[in-house]
Amino acid sequence: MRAPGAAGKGGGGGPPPEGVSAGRRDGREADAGPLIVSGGGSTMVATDSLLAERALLAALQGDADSWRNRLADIRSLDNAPAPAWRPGDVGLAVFQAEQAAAAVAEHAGRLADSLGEAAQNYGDAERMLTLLLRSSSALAAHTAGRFAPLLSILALPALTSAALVVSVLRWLAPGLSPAPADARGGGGRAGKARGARQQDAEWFRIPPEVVSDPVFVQAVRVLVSSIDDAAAGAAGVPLPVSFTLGDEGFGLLGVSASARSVLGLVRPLGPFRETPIRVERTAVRRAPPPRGLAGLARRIPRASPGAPQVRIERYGSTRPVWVVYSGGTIDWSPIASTEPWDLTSNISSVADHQSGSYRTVVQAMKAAGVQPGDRVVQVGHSQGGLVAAQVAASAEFDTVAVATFGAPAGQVDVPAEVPMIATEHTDDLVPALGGTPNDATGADNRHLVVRREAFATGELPQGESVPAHNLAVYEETARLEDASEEPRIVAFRSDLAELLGSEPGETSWWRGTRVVGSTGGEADAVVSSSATGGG
Amino acid sequence: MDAQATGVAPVGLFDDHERRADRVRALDEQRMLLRALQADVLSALNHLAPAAGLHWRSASARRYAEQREQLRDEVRRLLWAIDEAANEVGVALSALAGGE
Repeated sequence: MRAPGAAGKGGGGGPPPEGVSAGRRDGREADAGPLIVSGGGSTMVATDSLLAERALLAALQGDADSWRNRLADIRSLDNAPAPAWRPGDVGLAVFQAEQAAAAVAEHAGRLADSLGEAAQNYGDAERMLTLLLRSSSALAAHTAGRFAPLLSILALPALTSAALVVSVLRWLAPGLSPAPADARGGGGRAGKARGARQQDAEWFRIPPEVVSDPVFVQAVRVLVSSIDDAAAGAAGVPLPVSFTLGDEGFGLLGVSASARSVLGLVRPLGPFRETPIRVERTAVRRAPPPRGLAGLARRIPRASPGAPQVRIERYGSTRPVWVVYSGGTIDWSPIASTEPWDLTSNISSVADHQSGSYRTVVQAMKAAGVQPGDRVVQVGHSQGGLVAAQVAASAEFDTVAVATFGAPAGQVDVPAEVPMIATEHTDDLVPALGGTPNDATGADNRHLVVRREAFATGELPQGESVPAHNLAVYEETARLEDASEEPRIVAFRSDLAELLGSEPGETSWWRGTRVVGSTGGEADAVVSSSATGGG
Repeated sequence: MDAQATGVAPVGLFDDHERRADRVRALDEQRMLLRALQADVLSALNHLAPAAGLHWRSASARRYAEQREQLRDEVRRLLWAIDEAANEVGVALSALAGGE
């Protein structure tokens, strides 16, 4: 998903330009929050610098132990008949060095343990808070769902009174309104009507400061995870049963079930109907392999109408490695048009149905020549990240690494053995729409989650509804990840570099289009037209 | 069979020369190994930069920075202890050379 209003300019058939590579020039990058690292098979949660420090100290402890052993071996080389154990004696001097090495090992180990304990406590607190929030939210949602009819009857007079009071206040004191209608809508009757609509939109609009507040984002995450509980309550399912089947239990209900319900209710009325898709290759080039996470983020196609949504790179010849990049949502209309990167695909993806965007990626991969045994790296932003995780979870391809940026993919079951880094901004609403991850900070979660508050101290940019979701901002976070010495992030980077090698590969861009007006019996198709370029 | 293995003090000029030559070889090897170890410890010390710029609360960060500085001091002490040991080996070698 990509925030409305944040889309790039008009697309085209050729290869789109890569994302911005320079850092923000207002110095916000330096002021932004630290990277918080969790998952990766550990229950610790901490900043990347703390975890890197802990790894450094643990390594020093190991080194010091090894130095002590080496000194003991050195001392044993002395074949003097009997050590004198007095000043000036070699054996005594080496023994004193051994003692110094032991002191270093002990001190380094103690410090590493204290850092580990701090990270463990942080992780425990976060897990406890998440569990508490999820449980209380599930209870509240279930209760609200159960008493929804009664609550709506009780709330009707209150809502009517509130609307009346607001109308009277706005008539008595127009200054309470955000702006005069004429100023916003222009002159004339149509302009006044448009202005009035905008005025109403402003009146009900949630300010970006609220949308980008990490507390609000967390609340949305919990609420999204509780929709199934409200539905279960309304359907009369007892709370313990709902709790057992939901996110908190077996995970049979949850965000996917909620999205499936929405599709079941709304699709007959017209919105969110899936269509067949047509995929075509729009351009081919040669390019060197990407370097680091910032290199991956930079190559994700920008969400732009008419532009290719998928980029596929092939490296190596004997046993090729493919890198597949998918971008964010382009069309936010609930009625499917020709664009597969739309709201329909968002809902279908969350519902775990094969969305138009998912099918576009799979068709493009097959058309590009990906074979069943080929290794694939999946990369995506927003909806593209969700699709990347779903392709990795499907086992249709041999996925060897996944990198997502701002993707609502917390509940996608990517196999534990597939190395994955999910980068999320805590002030980005979109990842929260995927609900609470099944086991965000537990030992069973093998995938690394790197979080950062993108606008921790800086002011929010104007004109963007969810600025922290912008791909350029995720690129900045990826650069911080590339600079990080946290061992697991370092390992991901080095494994990626080893996998892709240094030789240039073939890059192709792919564009999917929905076949609208289809009866539904039509199959997806690949059109093999492309513009080929050199260099 | 040497004196250490038998526990019997060597007798005779030939045994004395042999024992001294063994000792010189052992000390040479010790000195070489100590210098190699010294280089490794120095490299580790250079990697152990001061704990600045870490995102921790001020009070605990201060306490941690103090502990971290003490650790660096201990690594320095180890470095000096190894240097001291290598110097003692050098002195012993000089003494053996002077005694010839």
